[in-house]
Amino acid sequence: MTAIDTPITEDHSAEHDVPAKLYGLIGEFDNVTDIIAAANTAREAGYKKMDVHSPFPIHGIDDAIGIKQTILPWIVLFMGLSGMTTGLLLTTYTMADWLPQPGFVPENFEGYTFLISGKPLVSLAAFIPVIFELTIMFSAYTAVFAMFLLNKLPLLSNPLLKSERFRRATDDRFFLAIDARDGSFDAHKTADLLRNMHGCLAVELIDDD
Amino acid sequence: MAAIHPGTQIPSVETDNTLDDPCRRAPLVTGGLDFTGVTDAVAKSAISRPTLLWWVLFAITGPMALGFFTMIGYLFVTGTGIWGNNQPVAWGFPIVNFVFWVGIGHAGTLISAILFLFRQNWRTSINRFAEAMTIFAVVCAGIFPGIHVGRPWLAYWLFPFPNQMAMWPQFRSPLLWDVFAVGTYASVSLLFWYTGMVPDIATLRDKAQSRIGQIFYGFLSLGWTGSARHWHRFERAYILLAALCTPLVLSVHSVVSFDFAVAQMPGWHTTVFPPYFVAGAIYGGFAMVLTLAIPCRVWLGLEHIITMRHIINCAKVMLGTGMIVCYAYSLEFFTAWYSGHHFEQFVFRNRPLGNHYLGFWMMVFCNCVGPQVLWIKKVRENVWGIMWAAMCVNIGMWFERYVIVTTSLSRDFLPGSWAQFVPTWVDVVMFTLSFGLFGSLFLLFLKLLPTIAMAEVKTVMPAAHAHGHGHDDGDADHGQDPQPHVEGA
Amino acid sequence: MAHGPKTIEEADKTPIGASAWPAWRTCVVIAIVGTVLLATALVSKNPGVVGGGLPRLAFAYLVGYCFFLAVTIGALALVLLTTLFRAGWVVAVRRVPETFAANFVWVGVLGLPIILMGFLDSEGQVYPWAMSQKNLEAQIHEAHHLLEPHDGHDEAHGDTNPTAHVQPVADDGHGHALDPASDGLHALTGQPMGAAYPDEDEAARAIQRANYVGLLGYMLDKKRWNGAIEGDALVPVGKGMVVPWYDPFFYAVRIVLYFVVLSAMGMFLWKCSVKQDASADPALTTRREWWAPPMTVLFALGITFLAFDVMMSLDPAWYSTMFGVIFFANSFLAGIATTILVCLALQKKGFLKIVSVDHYHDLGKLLFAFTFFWGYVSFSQFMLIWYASLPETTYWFELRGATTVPTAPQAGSGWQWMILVLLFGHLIVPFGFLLSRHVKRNLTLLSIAAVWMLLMVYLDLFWYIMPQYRSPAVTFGLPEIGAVLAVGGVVFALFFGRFRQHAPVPHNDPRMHESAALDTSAWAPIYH
Repeated sequence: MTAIDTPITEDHSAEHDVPAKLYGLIGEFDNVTDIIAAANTAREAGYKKMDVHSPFPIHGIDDAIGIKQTILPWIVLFMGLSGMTTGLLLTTYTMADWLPQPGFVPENFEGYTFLISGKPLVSLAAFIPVIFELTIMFSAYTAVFAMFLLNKLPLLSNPLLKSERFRRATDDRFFLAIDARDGSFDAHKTADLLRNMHGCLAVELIDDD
Repeated sequence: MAAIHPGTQIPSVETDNTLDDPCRRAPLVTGGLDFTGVTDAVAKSAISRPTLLWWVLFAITGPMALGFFTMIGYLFVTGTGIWGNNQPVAWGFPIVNFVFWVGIGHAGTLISAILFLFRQNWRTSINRFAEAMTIFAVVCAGIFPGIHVGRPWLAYWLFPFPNQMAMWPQFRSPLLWDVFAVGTYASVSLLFWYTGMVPDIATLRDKAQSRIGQIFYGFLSLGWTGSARHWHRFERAYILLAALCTPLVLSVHSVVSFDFAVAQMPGWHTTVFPPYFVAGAIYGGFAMVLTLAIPCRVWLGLEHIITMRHIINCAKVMLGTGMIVCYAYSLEFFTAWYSGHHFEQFVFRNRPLGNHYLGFWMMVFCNCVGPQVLWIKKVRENVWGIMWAAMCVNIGMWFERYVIVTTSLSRDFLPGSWAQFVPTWVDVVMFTLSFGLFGSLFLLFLKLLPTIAMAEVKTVMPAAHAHGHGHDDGDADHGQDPQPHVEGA
Repeated sequence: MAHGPKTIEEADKTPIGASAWPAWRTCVVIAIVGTVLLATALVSKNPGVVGGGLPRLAFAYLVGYCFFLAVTIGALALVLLTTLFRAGWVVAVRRVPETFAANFVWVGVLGLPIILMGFLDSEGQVYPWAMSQKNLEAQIHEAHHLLEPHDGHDEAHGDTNPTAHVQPVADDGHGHALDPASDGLHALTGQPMGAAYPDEDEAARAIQRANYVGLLGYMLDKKRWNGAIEGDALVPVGKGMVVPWYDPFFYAVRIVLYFVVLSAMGMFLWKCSVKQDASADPALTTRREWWAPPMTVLFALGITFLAFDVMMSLDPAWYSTMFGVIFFANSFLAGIATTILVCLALQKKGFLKIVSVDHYHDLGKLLFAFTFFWGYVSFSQFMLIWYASLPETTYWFELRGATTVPTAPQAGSGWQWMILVLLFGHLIVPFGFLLSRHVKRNLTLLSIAAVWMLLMVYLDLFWYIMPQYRSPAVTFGLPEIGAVLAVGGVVFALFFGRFRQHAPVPHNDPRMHESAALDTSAWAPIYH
């Protein structure tokens, strides 16, 4: 279907000036094996601020670029427990008149006590569905929003998105991006490193402006 | 073997992936599609102009949806008397429709959450539009109880907020549990759907030709770049959401079943209702998935991604959940007899022979008899056979809720309070028009958003996995060609 | 992390043979010790740590038996369902549950005493429906006597709770009015209905028992099946239904039928699998998979009615459509926990080398999921019955301690504590514990969880069965322990006897390579 693109290597030789404000370098690969190998090579070469961009999650890439386990599950667990507590307090408080009411709460916010179908005011069995749903609601919202926030998204403007080549990162290509802020970064040396990696199709310098 | 030059079109070497060979797993993407092939096939419908057929269909569903809202307006200005609901059958069509639609809205989350946890890779091709269908079905479902409350402008009283009336919702009422369950389900499903869609919207952003498309998709994709760090958290979030949605999807129809089962009403009060309703919901949901998937895969040219194997798998899930539903029906009859509880016995005698016998036999035929053809392999491999079964279930599951609501309410304990339920034209028209709303939303989805979870489909293609562990083994044919090999080409 | 392709070692392909004998011998000794302990039920008539006579013996045996029935059903379910879903991961551990399932027929043989109870128990001490007509009439007479309106015990509640007698179902025009003492509605709501109970505990218990027998008498009245309600012009239901469901012969036929069907399945799945060890023929897998869907249908019906007949019919007046589902949840938990423990024990002895932590992780996930599922179905059953408050079903929960009424006979009894233990021990604690991925991958912690879940399944079955023997008193002692050891010893001796003859791993299964390469961390595992 797709012809393999002829490997293109951008020329970053000395006569080209490196832009003053650099975002970094990206190297393009066309398969999973090569990108994992490339990430390993870069890590072994001492790069830390680097990333892999791929159209789907790659199994085994976390180790290759040294991604630590996210704390997301703990945040979700905490918020789930908060949701459970909220549900428990909400159902109990609003159905009971014997709970202490802080002075700042207006009087008409107190529990609304009425008997119905012979059930006790506080019937835990009947509150379980609401408590359960609130637990799930809190956790699920947290899982989504915390994930996006930890990923620093939304970020609608990103220097990478200006690259025409990078458009294929969401299609079929894999990019190793090395950040200019990395201690070992040197536009020329890093470009050479990328260029010499097995299967590297192209290297591109990304401006940050 | 003939040489393959770059650019050679590789013919599809294997299109029939329905064969069962225990020695190897069938490919889930056929037709020689590689990553770009998947992207192009899916993105095509979103980034090109709508086809004539799309306009024709939208010209039907759009006015129907408008008609639906007009009918709601008519209801608001006139009152619920225009429905057939009356004592003792106060629930009537609106609640039947609510349970019907909310049931359909179970397949999507089942596919994306439960099948995900069970590592059923085939779900990736159908989960996106099943989830979309879920959300649109829940939208339709939410409208019916909303307009059924009688004074819909006071529907906000259902929410717990401090107010000047010093009044709180009644947390011991199953109807309030519904508000929480359906509210949570609708919003969490929406988030789940959207979260899964973000990487694919980014693909559309990068594929879009028009400026408007780029801005639209660019905005919705939140700046997704497919970063490995992002994917890492994305995967965790997705697993967590799947784990959370699994009990959620069970709870929603369980809570709907509590609406019935906590009552003392014979025919409603039975302990197996929660899992039985959940199975029924999945049954109806998968029928709707199949009803939509079978024509859409041809229409949108996605036969190599939603393959016949996917359709057959869905049909098997439908058959399986249908068997659970039949089990529950039988158990109800058995227990009514076994219990010696004569009101129970009466209700279960009244269903097949009494005032709503036609509904009952429609239910039995459509849910327990018609779909049994799927046991036959030949039928299961024929789209028309599957379509027949799915249509049966679509109809049968509506009648199931009709039977549950009307038979018990219209013939409860005291003959003095018996009355026949007769739907009015408004009932029938409103239910029919609700399909217009569902269809319009679904058509908009097909046109505007990625209909297939491209990123996920790519993960189940063989090329998504690194070959072996030696990184520098110089293996020449890595990745690029997901096809097994061109044999004898 | 991804594992390289793993090769199956020779040890996994050769039958363990004579090395199973020590384990076999230990099981036999345990079974003999268990039988002796079980027999201590006969030393006196007074149920305590020992004693209680034949009824105690029968109930103790029933609980122990049902527990290992659950283990065997769970093992069968694990094999059957993974075959149905064409699962690849399970192959490495499959021989263990398969062997348990193949012994189903022997579990059926161990069930013979239960069939005999239907014939021999004319007093209805275990299965009330087995009571002879004469004894039944005597019991009903006694119950009527206790419930006479001007009887001393009755005055208190008769006045304070006049509504109790107009319950449409409670008093069905048959003179079997239900007493609020057996009416879980008030018992469970926690409303101050204390006045409805006489002060003396003894009287309360007597009335409860009397009501219960009265209800039984109504339900069991032989006429029920062909016209006890014939005078009722409103609902002439029951006509034509003359099937004597609880005829001892029919009961025996049914039980035998369930076991024939379930044993055939267990044997078939095991046979196909061991044949494949020799022939490596993939057609055997296809055959198992072809039969799996119809077998699942039969399996569902079989275990539902097995649970109805063996356990639910201990109280023939009570009914719950969820009962079979809960028994399935317990069984599946027991089957998975047993598989985990047996695999770990075998690995400790140097067998099952192919089984990796990923397999335990997956089994642990199932254990976790079904812990929650058990909670879901058990809560649904309780909540629905509690909420609807129908007297004909709530008393069942009250007998089992689900009451908040301080003066109820079960208040403060061991049963009440047991409910809390079940709520926390069978659901909340293991849910929190197994939630962690770390726990599921740590074999020590996972084995603790598996042992714990087996205990909880036993407790749940105990809670289902034993209150029919005595409530509010909780009877637990040597006979109960003995029954578990006796039945367990036999079941495990049979397991080792069968397991030793064949390779411990179905190494020629066409999906073996998938199981060997199992990697639970992969987002979407692909197997070629």
